[in-house]
Amino acid sequence: MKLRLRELSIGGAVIALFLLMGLSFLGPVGWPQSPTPIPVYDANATTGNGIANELFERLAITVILIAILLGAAMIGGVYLAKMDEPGKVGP
Amino acid sequence: MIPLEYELLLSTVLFCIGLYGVLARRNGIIVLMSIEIILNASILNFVAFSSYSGDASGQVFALLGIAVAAAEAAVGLAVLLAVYQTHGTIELDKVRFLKW
Repeated sequence: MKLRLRELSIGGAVIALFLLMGLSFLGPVGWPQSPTPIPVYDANATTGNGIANELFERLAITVILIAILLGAAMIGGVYLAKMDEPGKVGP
Repeated sequence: MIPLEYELLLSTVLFCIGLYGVLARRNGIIVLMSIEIILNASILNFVAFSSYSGDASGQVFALLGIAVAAAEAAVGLAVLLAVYQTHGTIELDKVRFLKW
């Protein structure tokens, strides 16, 4: 019963938050009306017009850091999940 | 053409589903999946605003966010596996990390 009450109260709070956010989105806000096509790569652009231009020119360091993060996460995941004997975690 | 408000509403639905999962559920894997749903809601917002404003930065950040979500899922699943091996359960209210 206590568990049920907890889930119901959380559900009610989440529904209230959804209604609040939804009404704020549907209110009198001047959202853009039509999407703008964005090229994957713009060869003539100086910077910032294509996704690849942004990714490999302005945010190149970020891409390298994300690659390091992915490698570290993979190595860390294997390190954490490795079990040599039952009940013992890690090397 | 889909209006931007609909995409924001879909993102809100995803966010609320994820928030409910994080707050109400106790299974670690379900909590991890709920966090991924919240991340997907933010990524959808990035792409929607990027597409409607004509700026490519949002889609680039969406790509970076997908990479971060993958790393988070890998580490999270590994942590849950380790918790299961040591505690025998992944029910988050039954796991006491600070208990000797």
